[in-house]
Amino acid sequence: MSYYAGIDVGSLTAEAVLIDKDRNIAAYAILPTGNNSQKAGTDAFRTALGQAGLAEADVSRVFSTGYSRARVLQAEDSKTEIACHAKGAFYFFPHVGTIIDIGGQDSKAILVGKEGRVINFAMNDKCAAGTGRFLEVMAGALDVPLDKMDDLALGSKEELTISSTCTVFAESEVVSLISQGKAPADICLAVSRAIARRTAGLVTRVGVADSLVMTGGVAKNRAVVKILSKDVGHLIKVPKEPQIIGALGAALFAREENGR
Amino acid sequence: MFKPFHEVVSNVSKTILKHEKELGCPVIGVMPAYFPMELIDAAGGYPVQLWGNNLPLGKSDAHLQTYCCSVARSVLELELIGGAKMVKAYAFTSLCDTLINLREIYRRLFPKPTVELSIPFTQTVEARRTYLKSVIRSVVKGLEEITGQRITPDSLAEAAHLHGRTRALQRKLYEIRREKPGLMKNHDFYTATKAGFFLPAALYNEMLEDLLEGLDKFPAPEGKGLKLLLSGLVFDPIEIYKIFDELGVHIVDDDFANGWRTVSKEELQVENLVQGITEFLFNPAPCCCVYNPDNDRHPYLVDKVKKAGADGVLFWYTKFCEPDAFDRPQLINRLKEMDILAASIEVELSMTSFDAVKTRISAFCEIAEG
Ligand SMILES: Nc1ncnc2c1ncn2[C@@H]1O[C@H](COP(=O)(O)OP(=O)(O)OP(=O)(O)O)[C@@H](O)[C@H]1O
Ligand code: SF4
Ligand SMILES: [Mg+2]
Repeated sequence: MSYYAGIDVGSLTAEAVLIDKDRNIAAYAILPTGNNSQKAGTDAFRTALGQAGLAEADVSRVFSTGYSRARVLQAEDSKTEIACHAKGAFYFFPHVGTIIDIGGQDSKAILVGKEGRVINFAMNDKCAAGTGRFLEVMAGALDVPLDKMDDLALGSKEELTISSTCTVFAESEVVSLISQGKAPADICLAVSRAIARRTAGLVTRVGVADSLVMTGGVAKNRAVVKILSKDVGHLIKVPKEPQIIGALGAALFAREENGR
Repeated sequence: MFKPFHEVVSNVSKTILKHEKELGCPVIGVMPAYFPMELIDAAGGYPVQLWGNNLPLGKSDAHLQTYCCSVARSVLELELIGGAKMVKAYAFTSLCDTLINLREIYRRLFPKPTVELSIPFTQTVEARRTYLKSVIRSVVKGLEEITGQRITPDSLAEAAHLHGRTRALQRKLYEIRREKPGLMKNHDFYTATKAGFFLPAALYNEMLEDLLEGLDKFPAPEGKGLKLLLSGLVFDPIEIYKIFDELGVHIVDDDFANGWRTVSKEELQVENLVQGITEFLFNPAPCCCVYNPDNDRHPYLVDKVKKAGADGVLFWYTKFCEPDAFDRPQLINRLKEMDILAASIEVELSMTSFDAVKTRISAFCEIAEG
């Protein structure tokens, strides 16, 4: 039986997804990228293979994506994250029109047409505002685990505002709110709102379709998704494991074999 | 074939110093855009075009806000850190608000003389003529004071011929690129264009002649790559063309102020200098910085895309160039209405990491390839 793999080595995490010839997901792995992106790609790939009980020889073709896509040893070809997130989101949601991918250092809004083909896209520029890194810095300042931020935020009682879009300034706003004795839950909500506000601008730039899907690590924060849904006026769907969507897209391209 | 051009571009200061010594002419720094080099040459100066550089910006922040374009900021930085010692004077045009203010900043900060060719806004032929007449008079006087030499009808005719020849040769290079996509690497092409900013025209013409002769022998390469047209103010950072080369993309034409918008200009007519300079400033290629309602950018660009057979247009946005930013959304919309793929990428001359730009360009190519 032949399998296909996609490896997404992003700025923070490396994912590998294995699919069979019928496009079923056989296994996946998510690991931190660390300081060696080449090794991270290999490790993620091997971990996924181990989980599926497969050997490298069982995989007919590997495509890579993500920031370090050119450094993935096993990959025969690569595609941009933009094409891959579109492809991966389309796999789960065939009616998707707009995709929002927020990773560690990038946020992207992607408008797709038929078959999940990219029509237009917009990316945040250089600055970390409204990205996963922003969430992490704020979680650090608040001393709250990243994956608990949304639960806390959703239980917030008081409305606070973080006005800076710059991560560094926003962090000092958070520190000042902490020193004023504001509740962490309320600050978490304000942080989520700050990310949503930045992202809504990006989404509007490419166009808000009827069906929206959010991918990337930040989609795991339910508060951000909820506020953003409200901001763009449509419910935003999130796949069960939003972080692997890029790698899944790459695996699907590998299966189609028509990559560049 | 491109080696001599690469050598110039990687050794700009050395090149200028060498030729300054050989020619014995004062180096005059020419700011963007459309200042006729002819006038400087005719006055016995050595014009060197300053379209920005990739210096890390620090000192210039004291004089120009961070939302000014990196072209103006980096040129000022060069002067402030003492990197432009060989430049004896500066020539400006009133291209945009930033440059108009930059000249004032130079006048206050530095003892070096400056001249400014103000580009008229008025469209009444008579008013334009009267205005330009006095502007040209002061530019000529300023240049003559700088060099200590008179601009004579003969020196002007000779200079016009020399620079007219440069642009004619460059047009030939553009034509080859359009007709034989892939023959020249994108990075080589823009290096060859850029080298001309720093070389004496006579020498540059010889180099271009050799290059054209060399290229003539080669047929168009087989294989088809994506064909793109670029539009923007300045074509730097030149590193980015290596990304296009890696991706197998052929830039088949451009609409850069320091590319085709200048290269397309015919030989300066010097018998009636006011008329000649009017023609030079306003034609043939329209520009976001030059107000000319008779020369609309929309149909011009659409026509250019068709003639070049380009698969799409990538707008090259040098942050934060105002005139360019004002025109761009409408231009993109118009192209899209005509079913021409268009997008923009943001660049800064001082950028050192090209990963994000690469992702943007690759994604644009993926869209173009469908
Ligand atoms: N459980 C979680 N809850 C909230 N956020 C999370 C969670 N897990 C991860 N994240 C966020 O996801 C981000 C990483 O996302 P992802 O793995 O998509 O990034 P990446 O692909 O490496 O980055 P990029 O695409 O920018 O190169 C982290 O910065 C973090 O903020
Ligand atoms: S890039 Fe734009 S703003 Fe900057 S000098 Fe040129 S025209 Fe003016
Ligand atoms: Mg990612």
